[in-house]
Amino acid sequence: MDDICVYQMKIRGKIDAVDFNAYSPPELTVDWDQDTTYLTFQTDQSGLIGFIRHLHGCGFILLSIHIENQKSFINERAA
Amino acid sequence: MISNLLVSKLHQPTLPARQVQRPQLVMLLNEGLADDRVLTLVSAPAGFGKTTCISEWIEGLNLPVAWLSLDKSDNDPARFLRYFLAALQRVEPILGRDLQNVLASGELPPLEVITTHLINGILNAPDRFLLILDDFQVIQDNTIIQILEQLLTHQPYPLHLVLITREDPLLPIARLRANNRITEIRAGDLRFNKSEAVSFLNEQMGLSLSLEDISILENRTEGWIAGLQLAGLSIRSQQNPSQFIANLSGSHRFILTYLLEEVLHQEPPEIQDFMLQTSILDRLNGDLCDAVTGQTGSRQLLEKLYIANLFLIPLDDEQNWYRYHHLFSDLLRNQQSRLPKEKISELHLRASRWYESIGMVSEAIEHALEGKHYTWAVLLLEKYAMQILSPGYAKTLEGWMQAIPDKFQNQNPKANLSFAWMQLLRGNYEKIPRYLKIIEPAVAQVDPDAVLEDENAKLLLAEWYAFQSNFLNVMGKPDESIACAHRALQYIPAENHYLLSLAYLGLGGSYRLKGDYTNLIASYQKAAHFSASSKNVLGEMLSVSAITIASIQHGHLKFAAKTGSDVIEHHQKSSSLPPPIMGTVYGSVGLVYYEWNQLEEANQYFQKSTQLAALVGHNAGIVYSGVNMSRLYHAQGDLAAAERAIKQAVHLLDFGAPAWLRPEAAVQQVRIYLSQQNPTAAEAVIDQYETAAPPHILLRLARLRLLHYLGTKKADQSALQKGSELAHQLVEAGRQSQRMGIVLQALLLRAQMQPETGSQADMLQAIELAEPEGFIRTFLDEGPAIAHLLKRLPDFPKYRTYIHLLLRAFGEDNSSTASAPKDETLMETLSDREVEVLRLIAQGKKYEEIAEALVITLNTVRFHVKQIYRKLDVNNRTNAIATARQLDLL
Repeated sequence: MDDICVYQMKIRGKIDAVDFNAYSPPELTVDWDQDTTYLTFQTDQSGLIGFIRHLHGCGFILLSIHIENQKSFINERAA
Repeated sequence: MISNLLVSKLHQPTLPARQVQRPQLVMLLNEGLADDRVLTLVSAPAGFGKTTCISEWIEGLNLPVAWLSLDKSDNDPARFLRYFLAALQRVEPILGRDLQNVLASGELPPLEVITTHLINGILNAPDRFLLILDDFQVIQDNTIIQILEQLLTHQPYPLHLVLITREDPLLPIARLRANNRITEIRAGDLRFNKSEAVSFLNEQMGLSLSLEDISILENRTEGWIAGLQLAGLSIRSQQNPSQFIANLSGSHRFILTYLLEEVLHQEPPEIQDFMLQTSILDRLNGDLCDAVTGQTGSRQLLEKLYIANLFLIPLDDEQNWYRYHHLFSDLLRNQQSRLPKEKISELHLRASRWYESIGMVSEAIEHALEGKHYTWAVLLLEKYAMQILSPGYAKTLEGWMQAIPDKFQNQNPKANLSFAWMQLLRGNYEKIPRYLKIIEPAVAQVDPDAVLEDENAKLLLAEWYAFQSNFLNVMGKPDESIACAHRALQYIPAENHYLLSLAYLGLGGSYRLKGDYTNLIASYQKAAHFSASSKNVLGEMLSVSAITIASIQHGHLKFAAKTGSDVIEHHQKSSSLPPPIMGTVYGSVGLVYYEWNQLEEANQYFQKSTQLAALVGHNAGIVYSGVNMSRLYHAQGDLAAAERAIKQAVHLLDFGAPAWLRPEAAVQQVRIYLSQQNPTAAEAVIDQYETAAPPHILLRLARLRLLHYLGTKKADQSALQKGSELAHQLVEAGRQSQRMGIVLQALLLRAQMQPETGSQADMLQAIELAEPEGFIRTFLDEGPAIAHLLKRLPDFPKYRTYIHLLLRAFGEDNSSTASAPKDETLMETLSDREVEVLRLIAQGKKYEEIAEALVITLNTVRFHVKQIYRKLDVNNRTNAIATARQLDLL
């Protein structure tokens, strides 16, 4: 769980990507679906916690978060 | 004391004697430095070896390093900045001294002031340096984050910032990343690979595990260093390590508790108890652990645990202080459930009492609160209220107050009176009534007849009246305030200098409101004396500031200069730092120098006054400085600069300034407009402010100046007539209220308006008034008409030297009055301190030696030397000595 993963986060409201740019983890993409914003990005647990805290500090409402893809550390190292 | 800095927080962690070398990480970090990146971010969960990695890196660097280990209390801007500056000063000792002075007085400067000072200070550092902030995840405060963001945005080159954190900070990392300005070391980089695990377990920990066992362990722990260390410690006493390793299952998080149990159970029960009990502490030392555990020999035990590699980290070179590794400490605290709740609470109380006994109040209060010993916490707050507030830990204090349930807070009227004082002295008047509501019933219960029987009740009553006296002044009720101050003095024991200082502050304030100069000075002098002897710096500054301002208003220039200079000198000599309120004292002393026509000195003092006011965003101070600077520019003939300064000051008046400042600003505005030959604008200013009846005496003086202008420049006879009448009234009013500066100016204006009839009498009166205090600028600012009148005066032997001095200042030194000997004039103007410096110069001392001998700064020595050269009219040391000898100064 300390590995870098691709996360997708769902936030209430239609939010401009500019609001995240300076503070986001790498590879951030932003999509919208009516009143919902979807953020996809790559980071590890430390980056994720910091980013969630930043979003919370900005007053955004986090609806859900899930892992899109997890690079397996053990498999990678075994390879 | 709360203001004490914990030096161990600035200590760079010591690397273990044997450790796993990590050259690939060091290379990554070095690349960042070579690329001139501004930030290194080491972000990973606990136990990944973040601190060790950075320690290893900086061991091999030939750069100065400032280290600051943060803890949760540092999430308060004032506290953070104090440590931040202390860390920076390990690299650049003078960096941020001004900011430190402000913080020491309990003020938090505005953000832009903080960042500007920091950036300028860092830019002055001679070499590149590293500033490392460890455990940065505790910092969530927006002000602190903004300070660092500004630093990163402006990127002052000498600084390379290193943040060690468990989570990414709220900084614009993406922007830095996009611009290649950041080096990131994350969990994936920090975890041990197989060869590092081999080195760690078999070499550093002295085990003899097979490669296969290590491979299993590495997979189980995912290269997580703390997990490997716990496993290694567990394995040490296993008969069959391979079997033990094979039995480990589940993810590394799940095996953690198991491993910890293993490690703990391998230790004797007394060691287990010791570790559990001391895990309530953020920092450990022998005495503290003895006090908490109730046993002896803790120092030796700590050394033993450190040698046994039991997650103990030394915090200083002498190994007096340690801390448990954060992760280990968290785990130990989870194990505290083995102890009864009452036991844990008792441990916190013991820690609190120990910290109080060594004067570390902040830590004492935090342990009292953690142990829920609220009565004890309130007692501590009561006892140390002023001490806690003085460094400006407002946020910390507020946090503590919120943590204490109301019923405990309300139990103690004395504590609440202390809180009311804090708010009063800080000018937070709106916060006072909530405390008064709690105090009033308690005070009402004190039987005045029984007062002498009960020392505590007597003190409470005395302090209550002292408080009321000061509070009534704020409400503009001087008579009631005087009555309360006298009641307070009746009950305060002679040895309680602190309370005496507060009562006399109230009394001084009352006389200030009543315009009673003699009693004002007497009261404030006592307040200053008792404040100084009870180390009440704020009280001392309030008193001295009031004395200097009032003395100048009443024409006692020498007394004002001496009082102000003594305090400034005292703070320069001592290690204590001047609070920002001293800006007013600098401004007042500057005004005296201005009046003595020593414009360079005046400029220095005004600049310092402006700087101190700006540092804290003290609007009234900035306005006061602006008015003074406008006077100075005007005197120097720079009318445009004088206009700009006064315009800015007037603009700032609307952002909060006391009423007494408005007439001061208006008078200067009128002077500027009249110099610009714009009497209409001058009149508009007077009309705008002249709303009260009768108008303020300074506004009446401004009106007189306007009438004088119209009468003398525009030949308006009616203005001359009105002006003469007004001047007469002002001379009388000024004499009655002992405002000698007003009398002097009114006399000089009247003399110019009646050049043929009464001018000689007015000029003589003015000289009689001005000579003892050495007024010069008041004459000069009136212009050449006064020089003309001075020259027409008959010869008065008593004032011959003084009149000569005035004419020389006008540039009219070939006057008809007899010339004064050069040394007499010099003795008037060379200060005692300057003579002292001159003598040391003559002895061949270097500036550094003079600074050391007189306990003043090098800059102050340079300043004195400059003044000596100017006054002796020389330009080097040899000529200065020769001239001084001619004048018998040496």
